[in-house]
Amino acid sequence: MKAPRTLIAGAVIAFCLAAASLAGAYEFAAGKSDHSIDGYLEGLAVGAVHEGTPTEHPTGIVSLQGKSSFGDMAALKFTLRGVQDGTVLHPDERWRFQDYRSIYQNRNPYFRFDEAYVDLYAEKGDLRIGIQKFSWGRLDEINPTDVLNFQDLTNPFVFDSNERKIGVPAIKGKLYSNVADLELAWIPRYVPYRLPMPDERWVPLVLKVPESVQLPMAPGAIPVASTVVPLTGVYEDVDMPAYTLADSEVGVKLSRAFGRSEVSVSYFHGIDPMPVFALPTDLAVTVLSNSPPLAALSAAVTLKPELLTMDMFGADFSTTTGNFTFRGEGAFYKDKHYQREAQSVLAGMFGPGPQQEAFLATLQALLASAPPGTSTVTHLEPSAIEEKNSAKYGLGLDYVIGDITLSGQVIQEYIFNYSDDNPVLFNKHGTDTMVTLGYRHQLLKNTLEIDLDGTWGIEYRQYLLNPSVAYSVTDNFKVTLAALVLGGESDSLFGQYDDNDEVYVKARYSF
Amino acid sequence: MSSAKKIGLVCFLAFCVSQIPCVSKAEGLSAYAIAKKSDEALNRSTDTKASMLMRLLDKDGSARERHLDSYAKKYPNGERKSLLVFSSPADVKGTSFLSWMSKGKEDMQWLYLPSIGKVRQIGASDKGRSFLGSDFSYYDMSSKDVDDLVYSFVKEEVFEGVPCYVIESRPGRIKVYGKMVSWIRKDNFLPVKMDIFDMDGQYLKQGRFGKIQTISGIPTATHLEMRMAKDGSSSTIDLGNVKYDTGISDSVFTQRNMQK
Repeated sequence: MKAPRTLIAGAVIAFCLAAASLAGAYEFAAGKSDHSIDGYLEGLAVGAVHEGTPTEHPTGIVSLQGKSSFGDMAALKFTLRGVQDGTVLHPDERWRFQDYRSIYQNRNPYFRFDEAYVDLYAEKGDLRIGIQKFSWGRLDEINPTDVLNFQDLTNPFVFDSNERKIGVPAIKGKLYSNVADLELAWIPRYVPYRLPMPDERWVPLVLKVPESVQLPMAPGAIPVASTVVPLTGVYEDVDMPAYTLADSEVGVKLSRAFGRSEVSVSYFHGIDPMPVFALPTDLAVTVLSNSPPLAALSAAVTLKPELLTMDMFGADFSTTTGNFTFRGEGAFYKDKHYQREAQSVLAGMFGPGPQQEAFLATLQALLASAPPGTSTVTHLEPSAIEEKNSAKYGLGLDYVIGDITLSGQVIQEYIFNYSDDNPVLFNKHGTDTMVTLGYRHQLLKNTLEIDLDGTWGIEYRQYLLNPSVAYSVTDNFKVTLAALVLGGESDSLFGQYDDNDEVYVKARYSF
Repeated sequence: MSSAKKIGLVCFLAFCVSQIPCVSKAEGLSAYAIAKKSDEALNRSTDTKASMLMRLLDKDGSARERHLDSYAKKYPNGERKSLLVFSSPADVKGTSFLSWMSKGKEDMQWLYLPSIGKVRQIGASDKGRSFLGSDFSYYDMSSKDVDDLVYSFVKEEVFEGVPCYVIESRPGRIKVYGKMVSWIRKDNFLPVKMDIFDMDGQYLKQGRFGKIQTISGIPTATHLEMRMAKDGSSSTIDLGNVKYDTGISDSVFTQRNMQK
């Protein structure tokens, strides 16, 4: 696959260069520059509803947005974000700027450039070079085609999806014509998602190693003290791909309007945005006695982030009639990757088959020859990730009446050739359906805003409710009181945080 | 989702607002002819750009401000396009609203929110709703089709020392208000006052148009005020840097430009 990927990446670079030259000569319009800096200070305080859940301290954020425009030909823009992150429980002493190669970044406080790029404008094309966020798709919050940026999942529900996105160093070229608009993106170096540390408030299920695994063998069938094997977790950071053309990512989007409707088709080749982990396991066998033969088992499970490529073929549309806006978006993923449930993966290591036979042979040999107290470690590589083709698609509707906006969406993911023998997280029987509903009411000359947002997951009977009331005390100072209510089956996206219900207050001063 | 909340922002431009005039006859002019002349007076230029300062005043005098840059252009086929770009308050800076209006068709509208980084197509929406939380409605802020209203002549009256025609207009296809009574200056056909009634005939609010300046040969009302009858709150718009016929490029009225 290296050669085609190199060709694709090369073609995109060529396009970007060609776009710049075809679009017209770039000229600096001296004397027409314009510079500005603004931003906000934000405080977030959280009150947990249930006792005993991981603490979240108050969070403070300063965001600076800078822009320098040079006539109609170019602009420099950046967004610098500094955060005292209340979810971080054990800050380390590393350099305070977040890097672009680590999944676990518990530095606190920290800074990062959300975006920092230069825009070059010409008559029929634009070029954007630098750290940037892409926004593909037309649905709200859940966008099947929006796969170019990975997300910071350390606090996954309080901030909206664009705030969670991590800017990536990229080159984006756009060409405009009467036929269609063409967008090409080249991301020379993958930037990974970010996850909370294992003991933090929003640690996801995928990072939780079970306390133990039950061997699928009858007690007494093998000479061990217990068939319940205690487990410990070892966390590895990501092994970044090589900095080569072949390992870069590319995206293409073609858009045009048909009357009142707007349509896009898109393609992406790159790293699958879904966090998935291999679970290499070191099984320790300790001899307790030789006669009768008896051993004790324990295992260390390493969560090793895997970066696996996929292809995405997407399409989206929007259209309006009267007060209604209809939106739709869908994607077909070739070779998408899903995390298998850890319990079934680990128990499966000891199931009938070559691994079980090898394990039993090792155990018998050890008990026959080694004195009590002797330990040996066997390295196992269970299959923890399922590679499947799948599709994700959804429809949305907005309706505006007076100062009230109503919106609804139905979004479903479907895994082709799914087998219940290898269950994966967050897709029951290979299907996951979400319904979102939103109600927004602006009152008192838009100074008071009431929002009621809810998401329901049908298969897992899961839900996320996020009611909020925001009041603008002045034009620059807004206070928001909100709640997060999560529930559902314990192995579902929202249900995994069943105990994390909370109320929170945000105060933002914009300048 | 904080993004979509600003879907309520909006529309456009100047009060190129066409006020409407009347019917029977005054000095040889029918109400419709007065309305037509008023519309022509308000839309003499092919394109307009201006900065706008909107103040929302409570009854107790406290004020909130919004700064916007507006661009508008009309085309020979009757189509009109407008773009509004917000420069303050800080939390909506960079938000822009694009509207394409064609005679006899639904408006097409797009909203760009920097916080979500993309342009959203939005429905034509209820034109009677508040514009940016102000006492102006989207309807007040949009250009109107003179032929979509029905006019009748009320009287002639001197208003604040200026001779005016007073005409009444009632809704046609687009029903936002029950009726509007407009005071139109005889000398330049600019509106100076408008009493607005709801669909039940109740007095709703009053618009005032003042500080007339002649810019590039075009008399222009640079101060607008809308005062609600019910609670006494009011909103004002002051125009600055008004420029006519500068040859605004068509590319200004595009989604691409909204994101710059």
